[in-house]
Amino acid sequence: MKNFTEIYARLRRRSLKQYGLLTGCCFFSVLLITSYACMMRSPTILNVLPEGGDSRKQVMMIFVLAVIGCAVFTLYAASLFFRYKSRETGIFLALGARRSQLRRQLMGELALMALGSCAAGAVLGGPLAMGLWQLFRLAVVDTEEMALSFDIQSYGIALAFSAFVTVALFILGRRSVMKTNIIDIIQESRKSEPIHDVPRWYGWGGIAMLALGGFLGYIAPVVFVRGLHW
Amino acid sequence: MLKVNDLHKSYQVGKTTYEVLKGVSFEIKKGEFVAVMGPSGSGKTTLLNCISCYIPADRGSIMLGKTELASLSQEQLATVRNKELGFVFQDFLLLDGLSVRDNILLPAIIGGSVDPDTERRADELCRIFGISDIREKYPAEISGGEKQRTAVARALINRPMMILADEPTGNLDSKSSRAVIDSFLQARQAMGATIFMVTHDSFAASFCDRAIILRDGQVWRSLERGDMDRTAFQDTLLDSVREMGRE
Ligand SMILES: Nc1ncnc2c1ncn2[C@@H]1O[C@H](COP(=O)(O)OP(=O)(O)O)[C@@H](O)[C@H]1O
Ligand SMILES: [Mg+2]
Repeated sequence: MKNFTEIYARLRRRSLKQYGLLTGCCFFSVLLITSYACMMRSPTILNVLPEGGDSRKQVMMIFVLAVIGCAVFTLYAASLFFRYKSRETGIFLALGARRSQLRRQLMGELALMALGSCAAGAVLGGPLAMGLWQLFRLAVVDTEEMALSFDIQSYGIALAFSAFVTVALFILGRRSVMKTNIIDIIQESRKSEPIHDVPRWYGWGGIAMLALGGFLGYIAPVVFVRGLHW
Repeated sequence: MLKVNDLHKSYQVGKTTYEVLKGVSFEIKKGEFVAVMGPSGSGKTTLLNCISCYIPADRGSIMLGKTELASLSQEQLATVRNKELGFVFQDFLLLDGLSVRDNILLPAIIGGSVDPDTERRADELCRIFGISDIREKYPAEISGGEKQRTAVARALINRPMMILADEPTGNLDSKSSRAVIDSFLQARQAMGATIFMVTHDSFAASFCDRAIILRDGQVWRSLERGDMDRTAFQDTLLDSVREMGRE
């Protein structure tokens, strides 16, 4: 009557927050990258930004930064998720589950999460780009030739990023099941990580870093293009 | 039932090797309730983890029934852990996302699917251990003593040859500890369970048939309860602990 798959489904229902967080992070990353790619590869935009020109390079640079940022964000979310899952994995192993058994269940879940979030992100990325662009036309400038058109290439980029997210989830998930050590889990509470006081200046430091990041993002393209003649 | 012979285990920390078990040998018979005592750091947990095959021993043999555990593959060990051994941990290690009843059924589910017979046994175990009323609750909603009795029921669901418990009362107050010890005694009476319990609490150990006292990685003394009553046996145990402290 009850089987392993059903137990996994129950556990999932009781930790929707963790599953939602990871799925949401993957969705947002893919959404962001897709809409950026749509915008950037659009013939409308490419006509305005001349080939080899500084503006084109700046847009490219910022795109690369966005890809790196989203990739790191997704990997971080995945590592938090697998750390959360490792307690369950350890308990299952301690009670005599085989790693291959756990891996199969986890891979099934990951496939659903990755495919769902990537597909949703990639499909909604185009409309998002379109919406933002229309907003821009309404609020800032609007001319005849500004009707946004899409290039099929941008979907290639979306597909590549989705593939990265999916493969990363599979590799990290597999590693988490294979590496989880029973001893670490059953002695977890006894070697609990000491919680350090969070100093007050962390908050202000964070705000300062935000400002610094914005400023660096603003001047980096100028430095690279003007200063280093990329 | 369980026969440990000349077991050695050392840990490597940096360049130094700490020998924790230096030739431990003992035997446990079917239906026995045995306590392993000893000061903190004497290697009790290490011994238990070797028997559970959570860590590999360096040398020596562990025979469970007719099986030499050291010779098994990872897959075979998983089967032994699932079918032949039952585990009770100091921190309970219940899955927070499953109800008490599903936690109890977990080893059966891991080993295959669950038949109505097993479900009936889970309910029977709940009844014996007085946790029938909380069957549908989740671990976050029950007390430490109830969690540990759930864990004992979980350990028994697959009718293992033997129960291994590491400081099962270590995180409990005296009333809950007593309830957990009672559940071990009931398990032995009702289904002839063999129980191997690590503890440094002489009160908990005084309910056992025998106490094996470890010291510096070796069996220092093995004390039989015989027909002593519980308090007399506890006094004997305390005397031994005191004697060990004096030397
Ligand atoms: N993974 C490990 N690495 C290094 N030393 C360890 C490890 N686990 C236990 N020890 C050491 O082995 C000794 C025995 O530990 P343990 O078996 O936990 O004792 P007990 O359970 O009797 O208190 C202790 O000195 C402990 O510090
Ligand atoms: Mg210990």
